[in-house]
Amino acid sequence: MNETLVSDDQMLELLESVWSSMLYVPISAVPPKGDFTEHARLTASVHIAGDWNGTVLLHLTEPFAEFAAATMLASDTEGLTDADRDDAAAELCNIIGGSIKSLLPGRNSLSLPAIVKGEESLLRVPNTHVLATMDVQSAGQPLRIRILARTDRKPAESEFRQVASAGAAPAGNSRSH
Amino acid sequence: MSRILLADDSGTMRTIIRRSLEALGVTDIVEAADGNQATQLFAAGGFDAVITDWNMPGKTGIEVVRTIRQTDKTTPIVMITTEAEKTRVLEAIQAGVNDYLVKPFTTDNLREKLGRFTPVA
Amino acid sequence: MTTLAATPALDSLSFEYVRKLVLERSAIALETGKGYLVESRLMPIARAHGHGTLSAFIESLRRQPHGILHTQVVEAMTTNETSFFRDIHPFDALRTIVLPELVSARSAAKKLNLWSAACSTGQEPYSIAILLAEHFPALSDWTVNIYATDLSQQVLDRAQAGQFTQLEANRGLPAALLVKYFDKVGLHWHIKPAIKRRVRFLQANLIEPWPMLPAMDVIFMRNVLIYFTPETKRQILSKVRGQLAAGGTLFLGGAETTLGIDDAWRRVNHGKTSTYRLGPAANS
Ligand SMILES: C[S@@+](CC[C@H](N)C(=O)[O-])C[C@H]1O[C@@H](n2cnc3c(N)ncnc32)[C@H](O)[C@@H]1O
Repeated sequence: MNETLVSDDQMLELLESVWSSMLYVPISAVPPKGDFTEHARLTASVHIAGDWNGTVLLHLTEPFAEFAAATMLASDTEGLTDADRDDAAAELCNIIGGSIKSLLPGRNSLSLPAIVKGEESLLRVPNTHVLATMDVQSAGQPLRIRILARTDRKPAESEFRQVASAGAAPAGNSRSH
Repeated sequence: MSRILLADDSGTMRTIIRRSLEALGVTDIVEAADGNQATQLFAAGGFDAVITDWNMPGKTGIEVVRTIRQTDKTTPIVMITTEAEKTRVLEAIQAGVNDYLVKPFTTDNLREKLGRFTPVA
Repeated sequence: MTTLAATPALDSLSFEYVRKLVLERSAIALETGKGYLVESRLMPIARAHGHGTLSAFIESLRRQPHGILHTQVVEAMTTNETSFFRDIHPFDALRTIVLPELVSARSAAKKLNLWSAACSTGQEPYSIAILLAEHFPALSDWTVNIYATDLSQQVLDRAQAGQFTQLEANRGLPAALLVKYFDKVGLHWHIKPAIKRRVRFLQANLIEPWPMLPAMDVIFMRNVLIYFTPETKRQILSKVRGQLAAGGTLFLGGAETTLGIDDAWRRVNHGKTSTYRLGPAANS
């Protein structure tokens, strides 16, 4: 990962604090075996703008979004709606994004979170490159966190195809994974 | 019995906070999903405390705090947000919040902060 | 998903060894049935030293003379749960009653000694230091010593560093005090040097001879006696009597009392909390 802005240790620590306080399950830096791309159906994002510009992405599976929503809402999974699952994923990304933002230089603001989902969706973030990727697992599910930074390089675009290529290298010019 | 205005655009977060309030014995909770709604509801009066997020559609939470403080200096306001920089906490205090809680928080954190501002009957 | 092989239940001989070790070295009384606690706290140490099972690790402990590893085991069995301004009411009593009285009683000597015994990761002594800075600015030309001790060097190292996670900072610290007395560095809140300097951290085991400390005007000995047997509580409370300055005040945890254990103490009620003093009540 990138040492100067957000270290792996900081990333894991901030994830652990979110997980321990809101989801009550461990999160481990050991990614699960197998292909992440088979599972990811949901991506939550928040943008950071100001002195530093970029995007934080949280890729997660539907079972994990369901688990997160059920835990956060203290509800059983049957009672959940799609909106609940999306909102839980969005709020997790928002909290992660806020912690990451606090580590970035200068004065920045956080956008409202957004959700991309579905089998054939495509998420394209123009003028960015992948600054950092962290694969983790929790509750038996794979999760991936990405930090995209605004870039001047060309071609300048980070593209993530859910399911089909969420786990593969982004179409854009990335320098670290 | 206290009446609380709770503003957060995330329904999940409103539920989490509502549950903690209920555990404290506060059940009269009015929810707002954005900043404009929050200030409108507040203007109608009758609240003993306000809990607000920072990043919301419409008015941001900090604007909500400033708007409320133009006319009301005393109703306790607690900001609960993912904004974690010290400059943000200072900004919120200057705007007139009584306390500030950074997400993520534990339910104990939340109960303790809210307990201080929500006198339970 | 792969799960780690479940650790076999702790055999009773191993549990008995740990129970005795911890009792002898810290007075913490582990009741039978706390095997799960021993497992969850010691398994990481066992693994770090290359033992696949807890029993194998404990077996090797038994064969070695007491050393760092045994200390680590004892420290791992302590419960370090704490927070800033824990339970708040004792700190209100300190601010509104105990300190104002002491300030007038000690106005000639201009000297105060306070002690947080069993300070864990430092939130308690730092809360005292913050309270003094915030509400007793007149004490700035006094000699105010805040001593903070604990059995565990591990928690003392953290206390001395004075760096707290957001979740720790969220516990008990009003935002106004957080921004006034802490700086944010990375993900952590660092206590300002001016506050940190006021607290002296020392290692001290309450059941062993205590380090040389001055007579104390205020002693916080909170949420530590609960781990001990009544006999150990009595012994410690009688030692505390010898350490308390005339006119001094003892604070205990919410679930702790001197009543029925050491009746030399007089309980003073302050609304939602109590303190303990020696000698006859002053007529007021
Ligand atoms: C639950 S914490 C209490 C911290 C703080 N006083 C409070 O009330 O928040 C208990 C502390 O007592 C310490 N402790 C346990 N046995 C001890 C002993 N025999 N001597 C000194 N400290 C001990 C532990 O290391 C732990 O940090």
